Amino acid sequence: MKKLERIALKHLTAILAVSVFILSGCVPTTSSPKKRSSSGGSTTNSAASVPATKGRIFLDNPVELSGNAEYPTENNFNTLLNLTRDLVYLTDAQTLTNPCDPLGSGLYVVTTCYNALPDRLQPPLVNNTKKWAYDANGAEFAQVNAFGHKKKMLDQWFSDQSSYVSAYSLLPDTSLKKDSSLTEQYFSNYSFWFGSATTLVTWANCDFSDNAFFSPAETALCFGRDSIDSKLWFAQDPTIMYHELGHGLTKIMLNTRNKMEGAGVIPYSSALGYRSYDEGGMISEGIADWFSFYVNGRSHFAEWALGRYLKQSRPLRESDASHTAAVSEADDSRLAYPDFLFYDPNFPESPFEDIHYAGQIVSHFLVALTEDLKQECSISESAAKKLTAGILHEALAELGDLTSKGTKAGKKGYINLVDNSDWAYEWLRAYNPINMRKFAQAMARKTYQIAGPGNVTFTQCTSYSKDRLERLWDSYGMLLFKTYNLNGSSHFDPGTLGAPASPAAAMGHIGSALAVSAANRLRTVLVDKSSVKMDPTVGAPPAFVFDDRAQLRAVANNLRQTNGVILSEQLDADLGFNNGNGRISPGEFVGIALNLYNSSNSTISGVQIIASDWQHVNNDGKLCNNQGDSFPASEAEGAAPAGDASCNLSPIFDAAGSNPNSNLDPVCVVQLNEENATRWAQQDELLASMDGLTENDCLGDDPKSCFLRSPKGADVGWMSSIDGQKNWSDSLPKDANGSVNIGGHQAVFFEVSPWISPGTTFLCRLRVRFSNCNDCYHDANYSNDDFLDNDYAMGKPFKVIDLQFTVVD
Amino acid sequence: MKKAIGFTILIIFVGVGLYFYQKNESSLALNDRALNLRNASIAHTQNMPSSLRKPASVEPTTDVTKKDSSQKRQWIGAKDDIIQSGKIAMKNKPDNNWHDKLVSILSRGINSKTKIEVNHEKSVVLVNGNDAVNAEQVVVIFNADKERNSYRAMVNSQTGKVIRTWDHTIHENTRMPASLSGLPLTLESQD
Repeated sequence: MKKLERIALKHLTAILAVSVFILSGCVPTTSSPKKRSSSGGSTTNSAASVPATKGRIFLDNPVELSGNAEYPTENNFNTLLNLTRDLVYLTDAQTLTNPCDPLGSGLYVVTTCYNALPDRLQPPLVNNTKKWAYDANGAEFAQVNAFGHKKKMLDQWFSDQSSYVSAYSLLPDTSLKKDSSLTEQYFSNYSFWFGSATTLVTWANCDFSDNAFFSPAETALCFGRDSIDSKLWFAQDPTIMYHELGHGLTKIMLNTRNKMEGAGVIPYSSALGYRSYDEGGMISEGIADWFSFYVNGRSHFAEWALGRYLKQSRPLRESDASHTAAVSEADDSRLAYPDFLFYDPNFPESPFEDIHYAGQIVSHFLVALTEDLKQECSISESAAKKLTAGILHEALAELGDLTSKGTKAGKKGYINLVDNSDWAYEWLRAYNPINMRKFAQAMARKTYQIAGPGNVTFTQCTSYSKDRLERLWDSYGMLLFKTYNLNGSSHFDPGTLGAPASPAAAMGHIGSALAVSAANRLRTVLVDKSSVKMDPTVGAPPAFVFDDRAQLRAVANNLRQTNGVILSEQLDADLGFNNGNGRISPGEFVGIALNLYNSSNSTISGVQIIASDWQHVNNDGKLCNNQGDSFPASEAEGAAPAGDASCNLSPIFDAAGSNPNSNLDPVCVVQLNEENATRWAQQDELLASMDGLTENDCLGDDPKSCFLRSPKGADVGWMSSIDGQKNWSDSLPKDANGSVNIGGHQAVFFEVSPWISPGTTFLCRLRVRFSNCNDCYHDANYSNDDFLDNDYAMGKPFKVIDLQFTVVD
Repeated sequence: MKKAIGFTILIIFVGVGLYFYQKNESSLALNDRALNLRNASIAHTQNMPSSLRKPASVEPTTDVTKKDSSQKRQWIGAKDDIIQSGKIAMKNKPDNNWHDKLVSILSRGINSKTKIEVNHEKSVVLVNGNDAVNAEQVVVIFNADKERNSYRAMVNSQTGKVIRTWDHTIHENTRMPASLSGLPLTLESQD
C-alpha cells in the first residue's frame, strides 16, 4: 500500500508541476518594476518589501501628497509612498479580487464581489506570491491603487450600513422601523450589492482620455488617462475613484427596495438623471462628490485627475480655499440653490451649465449636514458620516422605489404611482422625476424621522431639531417644500386599495403631512407657476426650432447611445428631410425649445418641459379644456362638454396598474378642416380621413401620435434656470464671445411624419413646472399637502403651455 | 489502512446504489407528473368555453399555470393576478432573428465607426394586465472612437424593437453634444 501511496504522490506532484508550468505560460506573471528616470528617491516599493496578501497604495492623490498642484509626472511616484503608512492588506487571491461579506458572518457572501483589471477584455494581473508591491510609476500600480481604494471605501460602507441596518432591525415593528425604507430582506436578497453573483469590475488603465465613468449595465468603473499627459492615470487619484464608486453605491441605494422584492421581480432600475443636464444628474454628481469626503474627510477632491491639467477639480465645503471670497459657511453665504448653479470655482468669471458644477450645491449641503449632525448630536465625525449615509440611503431607497410602497409600512402608491414597474418607471423618468424639491423633501423627512424629533426610539441621535434642520436646508436655498409629506402620495383608499370616495379620503391626504415652519424660509424663494409663460415681448417667437441635418444627426446619435432613444423607421435613417430652415417640415426630426419667460422678480430653476402623454382627453376623444390652458375654447372647436365627468380626475390607475394608459393621450393634437369650420382632434381622426394611409404608416404603434410625436427619452427638456423678468436664452451663461451654449437637453424633440401634408396645423399641450414652484407640488385644497401621484397625469400641478404651428415644406 | 480501504469501497458501493435508486425514482416521478399534466390538459380542453376556441389567426392565449417546463422565460409582472384570471393573451411570438433585427434597428443612421455589441442576459415574459409580451433583456454597448456607452434594454422577442432602456452610463466627462443653433419658429410656421 505504501508503494501505491508513493505512486499516487508522484503522479500528484507531476500533475501539479505540469499545471504550474501551463499556468505560468498562459497568464501574465508579476513583472519586475520598470526602471525609469526619476527626479529623486529610489524604487523601493518592491515585492520583497511586503508580506504576502499586502501591498502599498497612495494615501491620497499626488497633488495632495506632494503639496504641489503642478506635480510633474516625470517625478518618481515611489517617493510619494510611505513604506510603513501605506502598507495595507489587499487580497489573499493571486489576482486583484475579493469577496464581500457585509455582515462578516459568512451568511450573505458575494464570492467574486469586486476586482481590478487593466482594461475591458484584458486578463488580470496575476501575482503568485500575492505580494502586491509595484513600481508606483507603472500601470500595475494603478491597478493595485484602484483596487485598494475600492476595498477601503467598500469596507467602510459595508461596516456603516451593516451597523445602521442592524440597529434598525432591533427596533419593534410598531416604531420608527415602519417608516424605514429598509427591511430584513436587505441582506437576504443581496440588496446591499448589484446582485448575489455580480462582480463590480474596475478598468484601471481604461483606454479613454480625460474621462472616468460608471457603467451600471456592465457593472464597471473605468478610469482613463489625461489627454495632455498620458503618464497621468486617473487611477492614481483615490478621490476620483471614491466619486465613481459613489455613483455605483447611489445605484444600489436607489434600488434597494426594488431588489428587496426578490431577484427579477422589478425588471428595471431607477436612476438619477436621464438627460445630459437635468436635476437628477446634478444630484447624482453631488452625492458622488460627497463620497470623497465620506472616505477621507477632506474639503476638495480630484486635484490630480481633474485638477492637474484639466482645471476641473471641485471643492466640497465652503471653507475650502478654492472658493471665491463671497462664499463662506455663514447661513447667508452658503453655496445656495439656484444662485450657484453655473458656478465653476476654477473660473468663477466664466459661469458654465454642467451637472458636475451644479452638483456642488448638493455635495456642500451633504458635508454641512454631516458636520451639523456631528455637532448637534455630539457624535464623532465617523458616526456622523454613517448617520448621513443612512439618511441618504433611506431617502434614495424611497425615491427610487418602483414597487410604489416607499417604506416598510408603505402601501401601494405611497410613491411612484402604482406597483406596476412599467408605470412606476415612467413616473420616475418623466412625470414626477427626482428634482431638487423632491430630493430635499425626502432627505428632510428622513432626517426628521431618524435624527430629529420624529425619532423617539432610534438612539443614534434624537436631538436634531426641526427648526435647525429647516434652517440648514434654507441656507442652501432648498427649503422648497411646505410639508414633509409624511403621509405619502397614494391616491388609493387605505382599506380597499381601490378608488377613494373622494380625493380627501385618499391615503396621501389622510393624516398629518407635517408643515414646515414658514418663518424658517428666509433664503429660499418659491414662485407661482403663473409666472412662467411664453415670452410676451412683441415679435418674440414662441419657440426656437432646431432642424439642421448635421446637428440633428449628432443629437439622434447621442440620444440613441446615451438614452436609448430609437427614432421611427418612418423617418429617413440619415435624416435626409432635415433642411435646417427653422421650420417644421414633413419627415424631419426637430428640436423645439420653448421661448419661456419668467415674469416674477425671482429666478425660477429646474424648469422641466414635458411632452409625454397625459390625461387631457375625455372618454369620447374630445379635448378637456379644464386643464389650465382653456383649450379648446368651445365644443365646436373640439372641446369636451362643460363638466364632463371624464375630464375630472378619478383614479386612472387601479391598484394593479393594469392597462392604465387608455387615459393618457399624446401631447400634440391636430386641426381638422370640416366644411365651414375647423376643429381640434386627436391624430387618429386625421388618419381615418386620409385615404390610402393605414396605422402601419404611423410613426409608432399609437395612431393618436401617427404624424407628430415626441419619442420617449427625448420627451422631457430641462432648463437650469430662468432669471426674473427675463426669457430663457437671456438667462443662459454666456461664453467669452457673448454667445450662449444651447444644449440638446433644453429642447424636447419631435418626429414629423413624411406623410403629413404641408399646411397641417398642430397644437402641442406641453406641461411645464420648476423646482422652486409654489403651486406645482403643494395642493392648496389640502393644506399644501403634496399632490397625489396620479395628479401628475393631469394639468393641475403644471403650467400648460400650448405651442401651435403649421407644418410647411 | 486495510480498514480504510474497505470503508472507502463500501462508501462507493452505497453511493452507486443510491444513485441508481434515485434515478429510478426520478423517472417514475417524471412519468407521473407528465400523466397528471396530460390528464389536466384533456380536462381543461373539455371544459374550455367555446368562446375561447379561437381560430389560428386570433392571438394565442396561454395558461400561465401550466407553463411548459422546458420554457426558460422568466415571468415578470403581476403574475398572481393573472393566474387568478386564468388566461392571458400573448401579444407576440419569439423569432430567432430578434437579435439581428435589433442590431439593424440600432444601426440605422449610426456612424460607421461605432461598433455595436449586444449581449443577451435573459428571456422574459412581461405581463401587464391580461396581456403578455415575450421579451429579451440585453446589454447594448456602443464602442465609438473616443467614448463608450452602454445600457440595458428590454427588446420585443419578435420584432427586435426596443421596449425600454435603463442603466445608462454615467460619465465624468459628460461630453455634452455640440451646441445647437436654432432658429425662431417663423410666422409661417405659426398659425
